[in-house]
Amino acid sequence: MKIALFENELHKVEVQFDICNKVFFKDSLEINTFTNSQVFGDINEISNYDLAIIDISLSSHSDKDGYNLIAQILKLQKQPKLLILTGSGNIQSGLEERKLPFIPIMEKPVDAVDIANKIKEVMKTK
Amino acid sequence: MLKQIDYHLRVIFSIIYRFLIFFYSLTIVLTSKDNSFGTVEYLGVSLFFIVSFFLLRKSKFNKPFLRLLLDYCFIYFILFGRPISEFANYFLLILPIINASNNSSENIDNVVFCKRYYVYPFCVIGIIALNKFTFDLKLLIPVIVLVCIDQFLKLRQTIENVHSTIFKIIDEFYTKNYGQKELTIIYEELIQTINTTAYIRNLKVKAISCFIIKADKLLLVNSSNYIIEYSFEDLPSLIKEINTQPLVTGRSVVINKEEYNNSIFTLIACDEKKYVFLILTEKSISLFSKRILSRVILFPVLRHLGRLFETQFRLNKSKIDVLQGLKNKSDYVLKATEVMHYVKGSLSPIKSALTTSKLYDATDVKDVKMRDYLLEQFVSQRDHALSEIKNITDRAKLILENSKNPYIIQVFKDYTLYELFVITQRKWIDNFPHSKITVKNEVLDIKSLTEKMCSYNSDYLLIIYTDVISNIEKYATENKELLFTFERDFVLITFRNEVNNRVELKKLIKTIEDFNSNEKWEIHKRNSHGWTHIRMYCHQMRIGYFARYENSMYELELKIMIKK
Repeated sequence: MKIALFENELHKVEVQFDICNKVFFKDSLEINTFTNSQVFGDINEISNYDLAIIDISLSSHSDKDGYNLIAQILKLQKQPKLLILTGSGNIQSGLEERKLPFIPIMEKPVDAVDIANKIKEVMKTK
Repeated sequence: MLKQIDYHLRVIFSIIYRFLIFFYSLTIVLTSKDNSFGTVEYLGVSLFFIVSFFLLRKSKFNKPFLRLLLDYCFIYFILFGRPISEFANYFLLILPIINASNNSSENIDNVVFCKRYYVYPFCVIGIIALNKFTFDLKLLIPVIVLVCIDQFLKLRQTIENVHSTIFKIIDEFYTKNYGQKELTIIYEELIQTINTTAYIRNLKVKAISCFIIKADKLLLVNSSNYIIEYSFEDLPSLIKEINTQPLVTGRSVVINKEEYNNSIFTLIACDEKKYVFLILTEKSISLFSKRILSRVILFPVLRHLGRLFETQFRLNKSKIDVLQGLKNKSDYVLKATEVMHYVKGSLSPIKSALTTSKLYDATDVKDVKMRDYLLEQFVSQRDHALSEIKNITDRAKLILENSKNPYIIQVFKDYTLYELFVITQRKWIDNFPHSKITVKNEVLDIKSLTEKMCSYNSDYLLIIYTDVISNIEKYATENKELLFTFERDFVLITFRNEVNNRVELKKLIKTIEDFNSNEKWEIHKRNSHGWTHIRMYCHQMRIGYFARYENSMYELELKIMIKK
């Protein structure tokens, strides 16, 4: 499974993803990390991923925040599954304000178990 | 209301006046020998005059002009054939001029002077006709003098009308809490009043604007019309002139790219501010209008306007102060939210370290490779977690530091004991107008109450009172009292009330115990919000507090120390 992880505070979650991959997915996850939106390059390439995990408040150097990144991905024909990773508590209302559909949210603090459970849950959805 | 009273008075005077004419005429007829008509004719015409007057008053033809015509017809009849140079006869002829100010028309403002102009021709015709159609200047001089006096009176009345109209609008502005947009209403009314006022209406005012002198510049404050851009010819000399002359006229002004040459500038100093009013007119101002306009009509009105702008300026300033306070609070809440966001993120390595150790324990001991991996990860995360704990506590300090917390009372002011009494009494009366207020003062004289000071923050004191009063509203019967006790070193404010049957006494007694106790308050405060505020703010303002419950009466005492 190919995962794109957009997270500015990578050092706080990177290890959890690594453990999650090794313990729960037998190293089958290919996790690529991006601290801001432009590092990813051509957004059309996101179609090659199975899951995009996006933090809403990306680095201040990022061209787009999480909401705008999600909005851009949702415009693509072939979209990966989406999962929001956040420390903020009012993301749902933020999505509604921007007229974005419901997207599963994984609230920080997170550990490998939380990440594994959430990935499995999201990937089960159609 | 005053206008109505005035109208009714004038109606009464009008009736009395006709009787006066009647009796005066009767005296002339009875005391002089050269009667032109017989007694029956005089009595008949007099009766006809009185009856006609009352019929006219009640009819739809009740017009000032017709009443005046009736008066003069009667006067001409009485004076017919009598020497007009005789004072008594002459006086009867000018009596309607003297009485003109008592005109009983409903709209006196518009008619009073017009009515006088009706009177003069009747009077002059009477003088010439009764003088056997010969022109005698001597007889006309008193009428000319009366015309002059009327002119002065008219000028005075005009000024009074302008002032009362504009002052009324400005006063309404204060009471009706209008905003900046409605300021134009004042200007519109002022322009309309000037343009309809005798002596100055020829100016035809087009616009009025107010500027303020700041750093040798004229900055726009407000205007009767929308001004996007403006400029003045030779501004330094204009400002110099404005500062030295009561009225500066004829200076070129460019407003919204249009040039105006008929301009009037006048300076109104208000406290430390210098307001400059610019009046744009269609015609240039004459010397007479200049004097009338500046000295007697415009200056008092503009001074009043200047004061209004000054009040508005101060209100806006205090509004900005309040908004700044709100902004500080909003910033603080945002900061706290950010910190919580940060804390949640920073807890991830800590949670992860603990989870990794659990995963390590749960991994089969035979799976050495995995256990080694997890152990290695645990060690690296443990160090990371420790550094994150330090980061979290540093951020928490930012929020917990009192000096940065806008909810912690930082500003204290000194107030007299009398001011403390007034603020407390007003709050109590606003909520419980029929409840008792008792003042016990056996140690301080009245003078001390206005001299001795105590220190508090009035906003937060009112918050305490709001919480106290809200509790009383919920849990008290009608039996409640505010007790004010002045002692030599402190003031004791006691809120006393009988508790109603909604109160669970056991719970109340327990809460009172907790409220008075310092030992467990940090635990209890989580469950008693209103009480928390009272205690917290009292504590911050160093106000003593004590609650008690005795004989169905609940009491809360606040003790405020008097400054030495």
